[in-house]
Amino acid sequence: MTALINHDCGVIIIQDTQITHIDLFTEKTTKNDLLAKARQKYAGAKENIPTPAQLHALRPKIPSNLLVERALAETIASIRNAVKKDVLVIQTIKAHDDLTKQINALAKRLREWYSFYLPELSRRHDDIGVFVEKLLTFDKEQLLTELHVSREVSMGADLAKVDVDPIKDLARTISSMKQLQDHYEKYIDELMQSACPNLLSLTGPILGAKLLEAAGDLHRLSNLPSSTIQTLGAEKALFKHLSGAASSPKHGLLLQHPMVQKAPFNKRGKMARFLANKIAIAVRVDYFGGNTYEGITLKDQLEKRL
Amino acid sequence: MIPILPGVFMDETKKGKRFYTKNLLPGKVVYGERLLRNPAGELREWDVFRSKLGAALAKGLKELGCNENNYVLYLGCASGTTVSHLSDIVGKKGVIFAVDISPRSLRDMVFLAQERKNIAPILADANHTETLSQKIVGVDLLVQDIAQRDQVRIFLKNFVLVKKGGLGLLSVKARSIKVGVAPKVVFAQVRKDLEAQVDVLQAIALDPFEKDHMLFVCRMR
Repeated sequence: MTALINHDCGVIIIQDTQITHIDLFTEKTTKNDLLAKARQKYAGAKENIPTPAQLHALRPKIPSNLLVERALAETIASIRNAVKKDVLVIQTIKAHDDLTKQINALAKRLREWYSFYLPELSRRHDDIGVFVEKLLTFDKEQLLTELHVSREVSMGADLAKVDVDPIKDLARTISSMKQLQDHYEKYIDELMQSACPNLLSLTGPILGAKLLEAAGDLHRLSNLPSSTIQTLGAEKALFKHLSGAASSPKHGLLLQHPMVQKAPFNKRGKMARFLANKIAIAVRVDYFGGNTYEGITLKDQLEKRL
Repeated sequence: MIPILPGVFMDETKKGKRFYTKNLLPGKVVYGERLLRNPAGELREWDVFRSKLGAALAKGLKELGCNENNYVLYLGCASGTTVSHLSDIVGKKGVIFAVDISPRSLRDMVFLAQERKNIAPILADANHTETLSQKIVGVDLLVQDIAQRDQVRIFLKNFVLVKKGGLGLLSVKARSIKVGVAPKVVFAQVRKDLEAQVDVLQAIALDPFEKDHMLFVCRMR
């Protein structure tokens, strides 16, 4: 009884439980060459992967540096191939979140600093984007008119241009960070169009990317039960519930979805559950391959239910 | 400074016990650990807070099951903190088969392997013995540190790859197996499941270095 053992380091021939021949890799041979040669020479031999007993017997016969070399080569190739679109989506949404933190930190500083010049403007505009735009587009005269405040009443000092310019530079930095965020949102949308269009049509780019981030990758997200998808992001509440100290959480990241946010409080749990159910289906269609219209169909089903 | 195990040294100071291995690549630091000059050579400190085996040493591990020139199968190797010390111990002729499921973690391991040349990084699921079988040979020691619910089953499944008399070190986090159940109860069940097939030589609680973690030292019956 002849068996042909296929190992990453070479081809081993076993005859009647004894190792009779080993063909190890060298730089000049490829695995397919060795396999082809062996298949020819030992036609009709059964092909197997090594059993544990055979692995023990092979230990003295395969040099350690070959084991290391082959493992390295395979692993390097596997790591390269593991970079798929969902990896890029997740890095982008992480960058997006990092930017949000930095924008908020700089915005606080900008408001305080600028308010020595024209405090009424910061008070008038809650939204940092609008605040920055006004600050950069108009001069103090125009802003005072728009705010209906006269120069004498304003508590802002008359700073020279050389003192106002550094403040405006900070405002410009915030503005470009915000632009970068918008750019990233569009980029995520494009990535998800090709990687997971059904998830995208149900959740939109930002929430979809956050779900991917929470799951780790598209494959893991596709394996999750919808109950887990419903509570992704509410881990603290979930574990508190599991240890008996609280009732179950209704939603985690899904709270950010407009359908859940706009629902009345006593219907939010239901909405989150329906959404999670449809997302689970959509993600499975995306991962395993299927009709790209599923996402839209599922969304219609949801809206009808409302 | 005294040798306590093959390739492992201990120094007892006022600040407590510190553990070291002889640096395979003198001058190179792997994860920010301390380096020490010594008549035996250059020593690398084994950080007991970052490595579960290091924590076990601090809590009185009697046998590591690892000698010079040994082959080790390490399931769940992550970025290579513990593997680097095993690599020191087995030396130039030994091999550590470092298996992990995450490409991101393994990337750091590949850098380590390219320098040390006695580490074989493998991107695989520890559960897929078929895939693993094609990349390794029989080993002297099995170390497993995977956060999966069925990690005991996976451990026992892979124990056949260890030679007769070799050890298997299983690091268990109670919460990975069952959330909400008291750790003591979880560990008792783990021990029971292990003793069905192996002898448990030592069961070490890893606190205060790791919370609700235990290391089981096993030998096939």
